[in-house]
Amino acid sequence: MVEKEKYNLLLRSFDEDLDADQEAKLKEALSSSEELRTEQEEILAMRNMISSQKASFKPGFTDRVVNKIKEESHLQVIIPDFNQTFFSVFKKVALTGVAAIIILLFSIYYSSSRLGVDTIVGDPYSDDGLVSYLLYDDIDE
Amino acid sequence: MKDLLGFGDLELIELSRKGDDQAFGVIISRYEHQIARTVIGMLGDTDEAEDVGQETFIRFFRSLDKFRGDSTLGTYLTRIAINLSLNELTKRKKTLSLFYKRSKDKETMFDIPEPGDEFERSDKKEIVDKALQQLEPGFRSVVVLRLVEGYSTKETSEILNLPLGTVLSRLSRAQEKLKEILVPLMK
Repeated sequence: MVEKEKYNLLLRSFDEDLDADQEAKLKEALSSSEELRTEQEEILAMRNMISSQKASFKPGFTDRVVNKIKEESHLQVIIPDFNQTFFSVFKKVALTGVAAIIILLFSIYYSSSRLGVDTIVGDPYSDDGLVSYLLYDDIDE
Repeated sequence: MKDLLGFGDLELIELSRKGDDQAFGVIISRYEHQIARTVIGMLGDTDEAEDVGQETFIRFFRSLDKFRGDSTLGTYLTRIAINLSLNELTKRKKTLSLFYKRSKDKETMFDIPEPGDEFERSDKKEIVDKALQQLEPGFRSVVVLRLVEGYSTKETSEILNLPLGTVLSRLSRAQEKLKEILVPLMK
């Protein structure tokens, strides 16, 4: 059975730079233990097996990606066009509305010489008038 | 297209920024296999791996202006591929958990063939692929970057944004598990 400490040292040696002391310890352990040497060979073989893995996508990968990008860019051209049209129409409608409100307010001010909620919403009762109306509802009779 | 093959990555990126499809096509061809190794290592040889591979290049295309060249293009693309693969694995786990209740016993997702003839007959690539799928995603990403892609442990820690110590310990534990699965088959 390989000592845990030596085995860990062996595992670490594949990916880390061991210090001089650890390196000497591992070297000594490898020369004295056949089991550890076997472990080393097995790990190396396994790592080679993994690193020699070849992988590829199905043929035509580049074309598929480029086509997707083109489709996406085409969509992006259409969407801003729609947005642009929508916002330019909305802007015109909004500006016309604001202009109409200003003209309306101005005409109210011009005709009644004052600008208040009453004159805008057309409430015929001023505060004083309302009190008179409530107290003497037959005032006109 | 042939003229572009001799161009460096940065030149190709510059041309792609100006809308040259062919230049971007050369970038894809140049890094297709590297990204394939990464995503297939992470997700197995599945349709999802192809989708993630495509998405890697599409994301890169969208962020061409952000590429400053601080890392090599290969590393930059690998980082995107690994992150997308990890996202995909999270999604897959959520979907699976809806249909599959984990057994209390040790989970084995595939039948490991008996050593000897069976292994000779089996597709070695498939066995390694499936052995990788036995690792938890966090461990698998370390193995893929270090052992499959050949990045140094420092580069691996930078790509995954993990401390070097974490990378080393994950690597060590992952190797033990892989050794358990693969070494008997190699004998």
